[in-house]
Amino acid sequence: MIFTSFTFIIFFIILIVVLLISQNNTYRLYVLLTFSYIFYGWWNIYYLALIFIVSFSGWLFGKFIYNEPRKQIKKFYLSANLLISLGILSYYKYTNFFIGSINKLLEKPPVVLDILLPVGISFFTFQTLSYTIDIYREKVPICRSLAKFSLFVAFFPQLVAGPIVRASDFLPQLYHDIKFKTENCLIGAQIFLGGALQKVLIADNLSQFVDIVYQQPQIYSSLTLWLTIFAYSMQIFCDFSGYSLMAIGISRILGFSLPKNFNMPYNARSITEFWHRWHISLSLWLRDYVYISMGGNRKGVFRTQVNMFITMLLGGLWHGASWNFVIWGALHGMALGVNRFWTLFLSAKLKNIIGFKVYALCTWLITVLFVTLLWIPFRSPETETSYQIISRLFLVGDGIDWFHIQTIIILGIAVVWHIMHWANTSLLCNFPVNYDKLNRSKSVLIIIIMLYLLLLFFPINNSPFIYFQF
Amino acid sequence: MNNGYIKLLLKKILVSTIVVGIFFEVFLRAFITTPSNHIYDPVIGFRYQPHSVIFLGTEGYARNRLNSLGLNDQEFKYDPSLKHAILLGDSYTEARQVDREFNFSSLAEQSLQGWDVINSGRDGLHVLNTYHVAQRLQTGIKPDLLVLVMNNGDYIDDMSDKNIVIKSKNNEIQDVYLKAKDKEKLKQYFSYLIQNSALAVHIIRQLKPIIIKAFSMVQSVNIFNNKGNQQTTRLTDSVNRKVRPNKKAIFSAYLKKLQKIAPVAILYINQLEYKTVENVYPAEKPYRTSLIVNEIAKENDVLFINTADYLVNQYFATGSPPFGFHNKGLPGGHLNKNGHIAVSKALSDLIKRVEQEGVML
Repeated sequence: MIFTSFTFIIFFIILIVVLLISQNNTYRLYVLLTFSYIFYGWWNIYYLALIFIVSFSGWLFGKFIYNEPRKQIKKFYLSANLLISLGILSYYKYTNFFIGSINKLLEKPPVVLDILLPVGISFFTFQTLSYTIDIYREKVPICRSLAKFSLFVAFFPQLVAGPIVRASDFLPQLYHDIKFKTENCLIGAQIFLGGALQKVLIADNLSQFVDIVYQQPQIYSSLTLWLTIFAYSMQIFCDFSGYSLMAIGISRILGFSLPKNFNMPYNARSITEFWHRWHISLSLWLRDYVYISMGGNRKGVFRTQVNMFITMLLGGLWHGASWNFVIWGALHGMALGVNRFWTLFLSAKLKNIIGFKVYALCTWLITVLFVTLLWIPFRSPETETSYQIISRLFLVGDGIDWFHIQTIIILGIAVVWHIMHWANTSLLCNFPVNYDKLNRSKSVLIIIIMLYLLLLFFPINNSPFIYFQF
Repeated sequence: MNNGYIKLLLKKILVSTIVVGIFFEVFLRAFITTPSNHIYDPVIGFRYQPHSVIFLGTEGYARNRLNSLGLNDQEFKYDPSLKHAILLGDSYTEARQVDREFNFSSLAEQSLQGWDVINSGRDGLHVLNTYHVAQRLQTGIKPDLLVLVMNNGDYIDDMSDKNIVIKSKNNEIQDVYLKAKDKEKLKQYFSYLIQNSALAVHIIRQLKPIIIKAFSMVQSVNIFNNKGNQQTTRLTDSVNRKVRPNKKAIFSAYLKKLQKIAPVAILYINQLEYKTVENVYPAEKPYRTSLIVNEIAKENDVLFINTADYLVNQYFATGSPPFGFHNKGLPGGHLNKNGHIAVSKALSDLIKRVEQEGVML
């Protein structure tokens, strides 16, 4: 069940009706939990057991850690919870990758176990872990209600593709009444439509081009491949950002507030800034629970670089069990190291020599180009595909030229959109995707235009959300 | 919320819907599609409105005005000094993606001496419906040759269509034809709307999968409520299943049926596969199908030509693929200008062979 499907619309309408009928706040909480489980069970009913085990173990160990005065035992409980949660995640996500890599190393025939990856496992596992770690660090109060904790883990808008919500942000909201407010519904609907527009109009239409080229990159010309990699760059951003916005919009309608997950990442002028703007909830999670746990920047320059590299390597592996993701994460880790070194020692000098504006333009170009090139291994089904694309990018005059007109138009619109954001124009207030600054006076016209656009230009073969696979 | 507020809100919604709707109507007509020119036809599903314009901006960008027969061809005038060949086929033949003067029908006509090549292609036309098209044109055009333009799907999918009705006697097929499909009836219900609004056409096209699903559900409910209907359907199906001959026999019988109108030749359009930029060859599955079609053609004294070599040669001569468009997909899809040049050469050669080998006699 995806947010842009007919099934989801029916599901959501029924949920609203049932919530309106339920007068008592406790009933509403159980209704939300039940519907969240239905939402998840729609993919695979058996995996409901999995999400329940993860939730229950998180809740139970949270309780143990909280009630235990001795530091060593607390640590033991935390380790046990990490072992269970990460064990489940590793089994489902990395078993085949592990066996495959060992077999390849030993030159044995490939063996693939029949393990179906549960949707959103990486998201709800990380969410649960954040709770137990925060309890251990005494940063959040204990959640005594299993139902509330289960809803925190399984809250359907962000269950399968984030944003990754912290217990400290979400659990307090469950102690207030679940109420419908006109203001929340209007803003939530606009945010949802803005997300749908990003997903359906931009990402899905771009995928019509990108998917075909990625099937056979070896036959296309260098220019077509450049167009493809920029198109994918925009596709993955709008796909994921669109999902996040839809999740935020739905939550807002239900009266919940979720954190912002994207902030125009392609306007970043350094790789560090990019990670402050891209998948913000994951970046913060990795910073707080991996990077800082390893010592962060408190153990000298060299250890800081190593910590950053390991954090990004794990971030890459979090995205998927494939060497492509490992390479992607490792390169981002190295880039963060280089960026840190650059900022500390060279940046100021260069700004003085070439001037701030030229410096800003150059750093922006380098960042966008670097991020775009690194999406190649991320998107490629195999390492071979990445190699084919990279090797052909600079091969002039060979291959089929395909300048997909719709892709060029969409990328043009995206560039204008980014420039408007960068220039911070007042026009942006009319775009619901920029949900911080809504213009209510034109809301009806804007919603009608958006509905027309969605109806007229959604691709008939729309693709699933990219981040569902993670 | 008071009544005044609700009235104002509804007014805003209505005005916005109309204003934005008009804007998109103009936009769609300019860049995406024209209103529908389909006229419901109980035999072949639909036909085109004479003198209407066909335009689909999502694949190629050509506007062609149809002639008084509703064909994507110039106005027909019978000339006894010319021989007449009717091209029978689907969207590949109709070729709405390119300007008329660049489609293979026009190009072949220009290169052939003494032939009038008439393009009767219609989008989505089932092979077994080409007989009806030829039969309707027979009186006015008096064809000397029928060229059946086919591809892989026309044999593999069309010949296994469950709607094919087969009449047999003593294990010999007497007649094959296609039962009209229910979904085409839908066009009747929406005809006024879709013939006047590009917006309606586009929305229906977008929602088509859902509409068809809903329509089939209604049909199923009707059948379920009417036991008599249900029984008839089952009986027909079981009889068909029992005596249903294979695809070869059906196609062979169909060729014989077409030959009653005029001599027949087959022009087979083979898709290409691209392993690398240099390694381009005829797509394997369509090529295997072409061998079967060729065999059946031979058995029925029908000349056959596969365009595969022409298309491959054209690709290597120009370095540009014969199928596909920048606004749809490359290198797959319908024939582009480059592809039409290649296929026109194959068609010319086919008609020359017909003349040389005297099949027409």
